Amino acid sequence: MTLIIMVLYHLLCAWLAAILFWNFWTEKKDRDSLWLSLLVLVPLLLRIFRIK
Amino acid sequence: MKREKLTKAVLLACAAALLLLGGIPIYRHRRYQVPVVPGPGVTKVVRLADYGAGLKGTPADTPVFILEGKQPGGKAILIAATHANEPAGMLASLIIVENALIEKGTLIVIPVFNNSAGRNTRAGDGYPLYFEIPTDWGSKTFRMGNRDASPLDQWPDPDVYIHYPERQLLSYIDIRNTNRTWPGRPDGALMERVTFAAMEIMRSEGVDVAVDLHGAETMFPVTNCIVAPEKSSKIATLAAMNVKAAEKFDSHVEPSPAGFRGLSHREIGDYAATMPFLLEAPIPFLDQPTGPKTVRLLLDGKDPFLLSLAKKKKLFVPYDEAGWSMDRRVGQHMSVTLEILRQFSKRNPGREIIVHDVPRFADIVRNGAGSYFHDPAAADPDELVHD
Repeated sequence: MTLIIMVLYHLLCAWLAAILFWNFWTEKKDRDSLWLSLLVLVPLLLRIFRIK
Repeated sequence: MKREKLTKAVLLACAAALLLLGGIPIYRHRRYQVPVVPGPGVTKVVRLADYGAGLKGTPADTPVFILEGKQPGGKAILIAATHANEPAGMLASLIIVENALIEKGTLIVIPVFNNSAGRNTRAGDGYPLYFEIPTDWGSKTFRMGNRDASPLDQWPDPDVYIHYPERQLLSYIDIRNTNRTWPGRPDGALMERVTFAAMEIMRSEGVDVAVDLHGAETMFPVTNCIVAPEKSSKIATLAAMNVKAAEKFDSHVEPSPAGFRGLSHREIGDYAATMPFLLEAPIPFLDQPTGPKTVRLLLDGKDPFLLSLAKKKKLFVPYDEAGWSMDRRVGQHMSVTLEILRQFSKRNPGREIIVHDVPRFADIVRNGAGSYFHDPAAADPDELVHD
């Protein structure tokens, strides 16, 4: 059960990371939005790569 | 269009730099191995997973050093780094591994009991990732860990941790705390499997004495003491009196509360024939009202805020400009452990555990803990154990 939750959690992180990256890629003007998308991406990537 | 792409490229480069600068040190800390030079007393090195199959191949597995005497006798287990942010016990246990000779009986030593916590950190409190101890041949680097296992290894946490088998409700985070998961179970959460494997060592090997080495805040009432349940209290009292009389430092006895579950000093005694003792040495680094959590504070235990509180009588230990150094804490652990073994041996003929060639409190304070570590570069690489 724990393993299933762990896998689902990582999939959720990967999905959110993909959405954030897509937002970053498609944003044309708002520099704050670009920067915030990347900042929020950092902890998700640390978890996906199993660093922290 | 060109400007937009340039902006995105710069921002991506900044984010990547942030990720690498923040991530690489933590990644390397988690994989850093401390070389241990097993001394002449070590007769076997096994793994905790040998006693708990549920740990095989997991980041919670850890080396177990066995020191057997020339003559049969009693058996003791020494557990350190249950809380990996209280490293004096780990240093004391490694000094034993690298130096001790056993005349009679068997000593089992687990220097990094919560291996996952030993590879975790507390970034929010600004914990250093490593600390160095000066030795005769340079300095030896150790990982500074955290109190609880890493969520990378055991996750998710429950809303409320229900202790097994007593069903007491505990804080959710304590399911990753190996001093709340005793006596454990073979198929439980990873930290329950860690304590279960240690219980299996005690039950299968017939261990008489278990010593669990900790550190506690100077503002916490249960500090500078031996925590013992009823069955261990006589030996704890004698050990406390002897170190006070002969070595001139305090380590009073605190009773193990019967209603507080999951702790080593309670469950080991209740679920095995072993007599448990939990040793607390004061560690100013863990107190909340201190300056920055630096390596220097960890090693010398000097802090102006604690000094001010000491003058207002807010601490539970005497505290002055000398602080409370790592050497002093390691020395206390060593002397109290040796005294517990001596008192047990005196009262249990045929079950003696007699240990030689290890320093006591005054030796460690005078020479420094580092002077008892051996140079891994000068040792046979095949004999090194990486912990």
